[in-house]
Amino acid sequence: LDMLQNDRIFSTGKGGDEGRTARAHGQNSGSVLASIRAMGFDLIVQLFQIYQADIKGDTLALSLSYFQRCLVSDTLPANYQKCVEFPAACFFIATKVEEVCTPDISRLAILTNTTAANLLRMEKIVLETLSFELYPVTASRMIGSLFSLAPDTMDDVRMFANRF
Amino acid sequence: MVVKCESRVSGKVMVVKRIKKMPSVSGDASDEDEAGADQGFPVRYLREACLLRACNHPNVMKLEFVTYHEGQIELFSEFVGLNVEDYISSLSDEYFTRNKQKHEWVLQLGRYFMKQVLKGIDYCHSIGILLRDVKPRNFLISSDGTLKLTGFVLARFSLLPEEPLTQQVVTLSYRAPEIILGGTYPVYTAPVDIWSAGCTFAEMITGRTLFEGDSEIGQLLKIFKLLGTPSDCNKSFCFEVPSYIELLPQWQPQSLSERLEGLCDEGVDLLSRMLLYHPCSRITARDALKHPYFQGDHSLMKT
Repeated sequence: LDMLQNDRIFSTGKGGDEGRTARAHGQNSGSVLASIRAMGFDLIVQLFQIYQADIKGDTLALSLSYFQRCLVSDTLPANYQKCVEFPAACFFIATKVEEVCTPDISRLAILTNTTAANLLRMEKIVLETLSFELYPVTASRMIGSLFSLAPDTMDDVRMFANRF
Repeated sequence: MVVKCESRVSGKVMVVKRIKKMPSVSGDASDEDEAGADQGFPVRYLREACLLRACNHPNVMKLEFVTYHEGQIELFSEFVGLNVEDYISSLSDEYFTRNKQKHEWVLQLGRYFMKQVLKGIDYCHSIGILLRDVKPRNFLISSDGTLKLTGFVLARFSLLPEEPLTQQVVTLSYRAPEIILGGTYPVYTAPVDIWSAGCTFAEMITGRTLFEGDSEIGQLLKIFKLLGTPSDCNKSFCFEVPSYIELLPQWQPQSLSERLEGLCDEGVDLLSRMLLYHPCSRITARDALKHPYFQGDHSLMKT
């Protein structure tokens, strides 16, 4: 299974990269961004599927959010946008923030067909771009906030609010 | 390593926490890092940094920025001052002796600080952060008397639905009974911070740690000795408890007001609500702020 996933990531991350972006360059910048985003999201979702067994929290939502925020920020150099390490680093940071056990970086590097050193460099860039603001509102946190807004006259709601 | 520094640009006095990343497995970084391999930004500091960044409240320490170069991490936060534990130990015994004027002042100070402690905890809980390390050492006193919450190394965002979490959180003396009794992966949430806050409260008033156990069992015994052995364990804790609990001596609950000399009745009532065994019946930070103990004007009187 791993080998299969590896091939798929390789083809979308690297092979597809050049073909699709080359096409996109002819069009306006909005669609370039859209295609980069599509590829990045694709890679993150694939990584999520590989590590699905270990993942419990909001990792997928968080990593997609990091990716999107970096992509639209001005500080991220444009040449980093397209590299395969960028979505992988977003995923890596999200697992660190959210999960009990984080994936081993060397395995992640093999899966995304890059080196651990490149991933670490990218991790640093992503962290700096996001300036360590790594807790956006996700759906499950929103539910918690909604419950705390509910009137606390009902006993069961209060019990829920007690546990956030 | 923690150093104080002053910005040449803004003139702001800040505290820098400098962390050298361990290239090999050694010291306290070993539990997160896989054998030898460089795993990038250490998880515990990443969590600490981003949780502090997520907070914006006068009673929570502000993290200004983070730098990360060549395996060295520097967390720049605002400079606050002494922590509460050091402050308490700097006061002489006279302050904690009954019927002295200085003791009266400590009681006022306790109320004044406790209100801020609860405000900070309430804010963190309202945005979904579980602190898991509330203790006097993690509250810093600024020069204008504001208390700032810090120590986010063990904190995390709460999960929905509740997931079993690790047991190795909260300094033992401030650890809630549901964590000690909950097995290897107990399910716990916000009320553990309230328990710790209750212990902090008692420590501010008496100058001594409320429950000072040397081991987990010792800690439990200390708790039961003061608050009484729970009669019907499964009812008191809402989960399965180990069977050895039945073998413990059956202590009767002692009077908290005797232990906390001089504290007014409202204060004792608040503390007893914070130290309830059942996590769901324990008072929340928000309700605690509405408690009669905090009603009225309690500005600090200078001595």
